[in-house]
Amino acid sequence: MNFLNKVRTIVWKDFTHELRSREMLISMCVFSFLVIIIFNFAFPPGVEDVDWIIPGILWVAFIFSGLLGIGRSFGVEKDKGSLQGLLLCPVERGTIYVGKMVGNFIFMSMMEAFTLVIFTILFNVNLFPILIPLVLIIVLGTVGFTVVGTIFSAISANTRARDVMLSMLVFPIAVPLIIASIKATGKILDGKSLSEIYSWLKILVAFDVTFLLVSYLTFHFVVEE
Amino acid sequence: MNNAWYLFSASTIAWIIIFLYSYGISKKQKSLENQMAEMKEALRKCHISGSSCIRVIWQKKQ
Amino acid sequence: MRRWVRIVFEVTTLTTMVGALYAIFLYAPIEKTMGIIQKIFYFHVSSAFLSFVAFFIVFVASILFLYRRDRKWDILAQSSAEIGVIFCTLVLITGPIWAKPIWNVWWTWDPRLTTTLILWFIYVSYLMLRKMAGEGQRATFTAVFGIIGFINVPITFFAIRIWRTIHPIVIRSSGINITSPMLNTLIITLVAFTLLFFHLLMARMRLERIREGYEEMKALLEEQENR
Repeated sequence: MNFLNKVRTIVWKDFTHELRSREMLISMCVFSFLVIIIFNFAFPPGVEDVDWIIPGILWVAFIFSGLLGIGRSFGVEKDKGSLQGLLLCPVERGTIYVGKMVGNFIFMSMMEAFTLVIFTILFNVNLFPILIPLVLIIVLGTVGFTVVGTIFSAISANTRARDVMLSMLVFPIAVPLIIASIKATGKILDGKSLSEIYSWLKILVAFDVTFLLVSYLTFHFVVEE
Repeated sequence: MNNAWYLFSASTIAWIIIFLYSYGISKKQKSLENQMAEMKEALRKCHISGSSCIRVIWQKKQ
Repeated sequence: MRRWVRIVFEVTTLTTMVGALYAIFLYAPIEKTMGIIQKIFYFHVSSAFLSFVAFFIVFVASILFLYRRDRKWDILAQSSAEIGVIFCTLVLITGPIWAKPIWNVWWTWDPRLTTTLILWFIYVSYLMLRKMAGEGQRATFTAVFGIIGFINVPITFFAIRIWRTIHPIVIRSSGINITSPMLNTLIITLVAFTLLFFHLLMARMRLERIREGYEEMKALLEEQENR
């Protein structure tokens, strides 16, 4: 079995598991919905600076909800002991990492799509004209977030205070990602073209590539006993 | 000369932190070394009189 | 390390530090615009430099630990992280104390301060991870985090810099923006703080080794007990 097939199998395993219960996906979507609503009370639509705040609200919803889902990815494995089973397969550790990461990415993207719809409705923004650059930014941001989130989920699943530990690990590292995504989204929503957010995109790509590489290389240290 | 107060507080805080840390390390070290000395004593005594007494001596210390 | 070498080292550290304090408070001139409070600069910059050195050491030691699996690299990483957090805390404390009378605010979200704050959080999380992880895994987990955390620093710095710009630029590419006696004082302070750093580092590592010996002895004793 080559690399892609192995990854696909792992992703498929997580996907079908989730499809049966759908509990993680539903909690993620409900949570991001709640975050948006709460922010709506914090910054009611009449406020002048609402244009500045909107990208922030969107990404806060993405990130907090994404963290919930990513935390589950290894939490469940650890609790059910299925990680052992996975490790017994003759699969390179890095491949397991990529498989898990892609799975997390897919789930987080589904949540984000749902959130965007809610967002469009509640904030009365028309996203259609800027859909392509917006999706590009969201994809780059989500990739970066799941890249570090997955490996830290594997680490924190083995600690006490699992979710708190995951947040403490992910947030400081994800700072450049968050800044770049929010700023870029803000510019796009303002109607600026892609060329103006070039430096932010550079940072996103640099983040994604660097940490994908580092995580891929160090993952096997994390899961070996 | 209000500024001098700022300077004073900054340096005092800095040195207090450094000293606290340093002091904490040496205190911990002393305590560990003491405990190790006690354990050595317990071991020595029992070597003379037989190994079952370790339980008594060590537990008395705990 | 041989006893006399250690004593010489500690005496040197002490005298250099005293010399630095003399230089800061008595030798260095009082800066024109800021006044006497500018002298915090020497503590502040030295602490910042050393915390960065400390975190770099954590990075290298983490890599070496993952490669060689020798416990001594883990001890080095942990000790360096702790002391790095101490120095970073000093930066974050002396910075605002300096800023308040000069810029009239305790805090600004400028690139260097913000990056330092994030750096502080990364290594505090490192130390928390050490506490929360189980015995066998804590060394590996923190090593991985130590590597990721350090690599994150330049990326974070650039991201924040593109986002903002207030910190006085003392060291430009063309030269240094301060007068000669101040430069000398800075160098002496840097040397003194570096020696202090290594003194603390060695003390901390020594403590860890003693603790290991203690745990071993305790285990031995308990084993004897259970016979």
